Amino acid sequence: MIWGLVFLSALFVTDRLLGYVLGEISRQSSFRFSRLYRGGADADILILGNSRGVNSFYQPDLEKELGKKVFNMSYNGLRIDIARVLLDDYLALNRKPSTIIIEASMLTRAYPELAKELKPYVTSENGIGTILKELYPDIYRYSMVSHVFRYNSEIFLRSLYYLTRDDQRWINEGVISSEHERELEGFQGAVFDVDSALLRDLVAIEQRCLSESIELKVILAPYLPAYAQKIRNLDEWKQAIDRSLSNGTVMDCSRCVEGSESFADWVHLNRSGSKVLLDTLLKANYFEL
Amino acid sequence: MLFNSEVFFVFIALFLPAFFLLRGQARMLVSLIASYIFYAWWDWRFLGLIWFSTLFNFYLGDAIHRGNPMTRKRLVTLGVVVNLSFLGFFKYFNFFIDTANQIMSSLGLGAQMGMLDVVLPVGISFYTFQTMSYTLDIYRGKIGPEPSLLRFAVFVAFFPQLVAGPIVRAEVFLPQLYRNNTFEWSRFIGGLGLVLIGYFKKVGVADTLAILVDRVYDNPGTFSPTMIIIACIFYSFQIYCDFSGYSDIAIGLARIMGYDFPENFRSPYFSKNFSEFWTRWHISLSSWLRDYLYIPLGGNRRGPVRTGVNLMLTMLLGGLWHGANWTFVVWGGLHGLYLIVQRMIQPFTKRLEGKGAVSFLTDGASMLLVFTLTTITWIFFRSQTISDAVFMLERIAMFRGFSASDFLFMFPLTKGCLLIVLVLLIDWGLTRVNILAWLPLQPYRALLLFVGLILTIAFLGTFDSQQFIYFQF
Repeated sequence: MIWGLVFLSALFVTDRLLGYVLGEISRQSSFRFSRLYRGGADADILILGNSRGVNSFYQPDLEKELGKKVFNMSYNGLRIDIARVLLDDYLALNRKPSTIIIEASMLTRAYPELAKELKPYVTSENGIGTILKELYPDIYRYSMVSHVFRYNSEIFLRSLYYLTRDDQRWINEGVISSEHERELEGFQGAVFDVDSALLRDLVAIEQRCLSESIELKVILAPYLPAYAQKIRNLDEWKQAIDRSLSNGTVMDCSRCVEGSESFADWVHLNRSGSKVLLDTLLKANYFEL
Repeated sequence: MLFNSEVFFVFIALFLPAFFLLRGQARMLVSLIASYIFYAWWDWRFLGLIWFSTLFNFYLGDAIHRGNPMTRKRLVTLGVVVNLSFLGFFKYFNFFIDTANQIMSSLGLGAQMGMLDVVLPVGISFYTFQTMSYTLDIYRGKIGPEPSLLRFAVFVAFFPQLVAGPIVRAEVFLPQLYRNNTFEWSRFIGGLGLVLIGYFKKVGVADTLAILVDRVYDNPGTFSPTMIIIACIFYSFQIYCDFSGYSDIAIGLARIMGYDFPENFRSPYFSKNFSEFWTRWHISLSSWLRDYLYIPLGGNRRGPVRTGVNLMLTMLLGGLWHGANWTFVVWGGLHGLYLIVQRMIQPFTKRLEGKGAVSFLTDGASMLLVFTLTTITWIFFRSQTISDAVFMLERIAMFRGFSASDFLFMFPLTKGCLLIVLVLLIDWGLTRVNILAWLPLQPYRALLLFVGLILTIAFLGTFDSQQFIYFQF
């Protein structure tokens, strides 16, 4: 009996102690979500998107050209419902930005798995806790029982990687191979789903921005032109987003960048492509408020 | 019910106090009901098969015991035929029909036999072999018939090892069911240690390695040869941890209840040759095949050619035992071939054995060779068809570096490598220490080990209640 009590106490104390240490390590990281939850990101322009958001907006170039503090919170596979709660948490812990840019392809992907990976930042009160509870109640429960379990996540490993590096300085430097480009010839084409639940999340973000006097801009970043031609319902999909927005429309940059040397693959720009996009947006006075 | 599901923890928390509070027939009855609930959680309709197997073998055993020599022989033959037909129908019916159809169509015969929509009942291979050994042992005079149907039913359906072994022989388990075990602290600590190691292997290692393995095997064409090699190595550890993890949990639970089950795995990837491998891998099946198939066929007593034939036949049937697919037959055939070649080259390899540093090097090289050749057999075991396996081998033969899509899996790859190192360390430790004896003597070190194991599972495990691989066998 005594052994059992000592065992349970040791398990609980070690779990909490290790959880605390891992949490502190994660908090010290320069990884985007660590910065979000540590507070003090305090950007003027906040960018939300999936991997296309990561590869289309290179923070150092944007800061240099605009003379403003930019924070790119985009992440591979980030879906807009998860972005919405991340934004709520951002606004609760950081100074509000003057502009938020949303890369619209976040409304096309239906994989919510990223919520599970964000558990290093879960608390019972914050947005990640809320969405985890809704999408993966078991994972939420386990995260509350064991604090060490919260760090069983790829995001935690990434936060370790960025302990001594700035993740805002990462961008894809690769160029699409001619072999991969040719594979497009056999590609049947893509259809973008119009998901009303995800559109509601966009509307919620817009409402939040209106109430906080933050300007919201929605943009569709470039695709490799040959790929963009194969998106069968691009216009209808954009119109559905436009209809759900009460203020403004989607800026369609899907064909803004032409040469394949500006792309890392069919759907992602590379460093040089992000520069071309930035120049295009500057010429269009996109960032002027 | 899966050992790695939440409902199982509720089940065991209710069962264990009841088990220790009761004695004699009442304990047997509770054990039997619990075992049937455990099985019915998967599909209650197949309980009928267990009941049939139980009743048939119970009364057959009694009849064999009482019969004259001629009757005994007829009855034991009947037992083997009925048990194997029972297994054959549920497990191999469609396989044989499909094979017959293929042969007929290759001979230009148009007639095709229809297949049946047969569901494979979980655990059927395990409890069928267990009940067969009971009647065969009575026939051989090794044991007498069990007088109590209730105890015999518990022997057949005992939940820790019902669905995926180990295959426990009647002579080992039935006498233990007569003991009125009380709760023993030392057994509890030892058993719990084994259960936690089992969970670590299953939830921590096997299910985590499965993430990468499944993706590569589902679509090998999109991965580089290097990644395919890594996935094959991962699968070697996945299947080991999945199956030995289940066995550890089963043996550990039985130990907590006061029953001693034989070891089913003994650090098999430290084997220096294939004979040794088969004394360390799925020991309860390999010893079953040795005692009830290889030795009755003549074993190694009838010259080298007949020994080779016996080895090959045993391994081919051992492969087929795993499932109704030619991939399993090839898997068994390759192991048979390895054993035959090993016997042929043994006189030469014996001369290479050295001492000290030389022995260390040759042992290491032998282990690596056995592991590599075993990993090749697992490619057939894991693939859906032989052509899938050949495609994997062709990709491996192209040997070149990583491709872009490989980098999406760097997280499971890193985690997997770390976990494999941990498993090898645990296995190495288990070759040096008898954990069941050591843990009760060191209660506070045991406590540290348990806390460490649980937190490692929490930190590195995969929590989506994946089914154990051996459930399908």
